Amino acid sequence: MVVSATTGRAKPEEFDEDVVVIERFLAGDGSAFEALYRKYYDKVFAIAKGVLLDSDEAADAVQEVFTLVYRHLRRFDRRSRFSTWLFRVAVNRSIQQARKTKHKARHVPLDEALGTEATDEERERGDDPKIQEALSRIPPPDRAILTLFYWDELSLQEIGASMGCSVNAAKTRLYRARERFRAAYEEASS
Amino acid sequence: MNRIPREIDQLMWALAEQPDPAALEEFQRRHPAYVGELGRRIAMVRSLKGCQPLGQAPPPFQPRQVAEPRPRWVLAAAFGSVLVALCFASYLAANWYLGRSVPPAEPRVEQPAVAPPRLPEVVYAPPRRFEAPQPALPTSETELLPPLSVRLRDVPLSVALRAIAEQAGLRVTLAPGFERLDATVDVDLAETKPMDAFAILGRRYGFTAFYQGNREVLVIPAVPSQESEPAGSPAPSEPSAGGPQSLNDLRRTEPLGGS
Repeated sequence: MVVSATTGRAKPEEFDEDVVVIERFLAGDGSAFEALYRKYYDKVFAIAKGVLLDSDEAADAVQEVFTLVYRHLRRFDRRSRFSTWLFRVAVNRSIQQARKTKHKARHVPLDEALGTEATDEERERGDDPKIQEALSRIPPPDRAILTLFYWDELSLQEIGASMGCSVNAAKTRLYRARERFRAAYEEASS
Repeated sequence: MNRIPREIDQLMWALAEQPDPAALEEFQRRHPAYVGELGRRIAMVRSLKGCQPLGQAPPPFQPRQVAEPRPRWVLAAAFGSVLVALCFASYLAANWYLGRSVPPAEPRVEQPAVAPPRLPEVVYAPPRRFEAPQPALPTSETELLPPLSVRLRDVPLSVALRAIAEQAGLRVTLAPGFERLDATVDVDLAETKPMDAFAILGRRYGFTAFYQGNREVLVIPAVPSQESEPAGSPAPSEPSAGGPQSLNDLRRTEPLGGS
């Protein structure tokens, strides 16, 4: 009962209303893509922020993701939902960017380095230092799957489609990512 | 990594994501040892969810230059081109280096100081004598019989023949009509082969011995045709006797055969 709530975040198959917007864009309506951009900006930004752990880099990554989608929207074969395809592009691009900037030293605020508790204002901004620290200690693919599950609240089926794997593989990956995150979080808390 | 049983572990994750009060109470009743761990997970998940970026107004979208990932065939073609170029360059470099660093050496003919050649000693082998193949020796049964010595006095011819045959290990059969030849004779043979002994006696007393095989000898009272003259021809002359030799004359003949 309760366990099924974890993995049973399945959404019923429904008509993908984004296809209509895409058809309008492909027909020459430039404002149609702007609608898609506004609709999915937050979710794509969440993915990029969760993987890259930096708001500025995440904003740049979001622009790159939508640029790629803008250019290659004709390649969307509509076998999956548009959102799934978009998230897949976002995950791949964010992980690719995270691997590029892995060697760069991340800017760490002084209070974060001292391990002080996050203030309410920080929590409202989503900048809990322990969470940020724990996320930074796990690999980018783990950050991506945690972001998709906890922030974008996708089902395992949607996560599998976005990560390019099966539902069972997504379940296994999520379990391992959670365990690594828990270990990193406890380490950051101690 | 995690020693908590997998079922309880998954149950705690589920409760941490959706902390239903009734489910929490049930979990506390069943697994009191893991309540502390469950509390930590609830706080952690809540913090993680709370870190979700807040909704913000998206900046205006402006397509930018994005370095798109190149297709794999482009990378493979580039790698192949580089590899071919490297191979060609190394070939050229090797050719240049070999052509430059190794000048063509002039051939030098050195006369080695060697001792005067020694002629090998020739040893002539003695000529081999040609030996013609010898005809195979007759190996009939009668030839293999050992020679014997017999000395008999005043015995019938049949007894003498049987005595010779017995000594030679043969069986002798006298053909009908032999009884007319069966006179008393003296036999004195030394180191004579059995069939020769029969032949000698046969020439003396007018019979012929035929070896029949299987150690049997047939004695017929007759002599071979070349020895018997046709009717009307002059009688053969014996060198010693000067005429036909009678049985009585033979009785006084000196011993024959032998050496």
